[in-house]
Amino acid sequence: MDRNEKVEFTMEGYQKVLEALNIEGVASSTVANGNSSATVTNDKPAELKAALLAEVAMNFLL
Amino acid sequence: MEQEKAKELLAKRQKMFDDVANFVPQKQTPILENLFKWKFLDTEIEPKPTPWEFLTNWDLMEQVVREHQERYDPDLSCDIGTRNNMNLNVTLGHSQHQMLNKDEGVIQAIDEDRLGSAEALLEVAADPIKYAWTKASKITFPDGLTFGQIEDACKAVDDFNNFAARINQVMNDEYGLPSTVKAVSICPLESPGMYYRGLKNFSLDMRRNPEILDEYNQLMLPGFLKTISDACDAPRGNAVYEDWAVLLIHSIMNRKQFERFMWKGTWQKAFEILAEKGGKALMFVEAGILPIADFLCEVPRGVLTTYYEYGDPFEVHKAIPNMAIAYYPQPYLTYNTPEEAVDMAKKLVEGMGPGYMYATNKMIESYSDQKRENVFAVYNYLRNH
Repeated sequence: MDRNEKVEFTMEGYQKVLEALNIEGVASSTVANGNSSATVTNDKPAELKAALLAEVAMNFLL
Repeated sequence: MEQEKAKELLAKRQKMFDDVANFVPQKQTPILENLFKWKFLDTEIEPKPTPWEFLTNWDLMEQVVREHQERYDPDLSCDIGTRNNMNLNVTLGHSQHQMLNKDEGVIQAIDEDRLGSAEALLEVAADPIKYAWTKASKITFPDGLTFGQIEDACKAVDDFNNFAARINQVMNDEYGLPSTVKAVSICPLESPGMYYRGLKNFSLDMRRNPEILDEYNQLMLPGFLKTISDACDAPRGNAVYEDWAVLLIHSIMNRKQFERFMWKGTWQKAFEILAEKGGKALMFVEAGILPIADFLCEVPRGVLTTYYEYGDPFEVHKAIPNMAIAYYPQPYLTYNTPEEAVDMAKKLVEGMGPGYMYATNKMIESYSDQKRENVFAVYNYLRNH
């Protein structure tokens, strides 16, 4: 995805963003989501990206 | 500090806070700090970076957190550069404020509604991420967001989380500073009141749509209680408390509303779990606590330490004698002499007894909010009385 492209606020748009995310050089990340938190590492980049995007999305409610 | 010495100090500090929670007399009074911006203004790093530079450069942040710990050496800190992820909000560009008084520079967060109706709370409960992405997004960002903004926001979360892990380790291993808590639990109706619906709409919802709030509460309750239960089951590690709890939205509730929306089956149950499993909570409370004192009297001694900023501590102590108290009146650090500040600390230590510990008021932000000499004098007294 182009960085200047507007994202679509649909679940298809969410999936498209998730697939396009390029988060490199990450060692590990403890991601809080709602009331729970979990440590996700870059051994599992898909999980890490999903956790980060979920946290960003939850911030839309604040 | 050598790693072995730091380990010993950390264990000593854990015990100090345990003793406060259990009202065990001790030779010194532990110090809990919660300073966000003040430490940036107090730094001797040259040339002096702006607060914003600290918030966007994690190496600088680590430098100032180390410098602050070396100078003041608190026993526990709610902010080792990790209280607020400002970069995330700036990247996304929301969380607006309004100027209330231009001459005095008074600003206030705008009371916003991200949902549009009380009914939407049930959609949030069903799938929070779906609701946030597909619906709240359109209210929060009417002009939309670009992929670049989302990618930068994810990076901001990742950077912040990595810094949090790194600085925690540094403070544990090199300074003997424990981690504050194992988990953070937010009571189900805090977020709808403080954020999702805004104070005004939530206040109306409690009167017009109480059944919806009850339903939301019930749907979110298992996750809330599980967080606390899991924290109690997890190894202690370097942490002091099992749970960091907050009481914020109670400030707009009357007693009946508090009992219905936040106590029965909610905090009441959470405290039961903590008591059964031998856990401890540090509960941060905004606004007054006396109107709900009789509910908190049900909590067994040893479970709850309340960190609060408003009210007469002696009155609170008398009303809720089972609850340990973390408190210090901030004006004594600003307007009084070091001697007067120490006298106040002495009055609290001697008057409150073993269930008392010092705590920084989190509203200390401007450099004039506390004077260095007062802080040194008070800390010196607390360590040596």
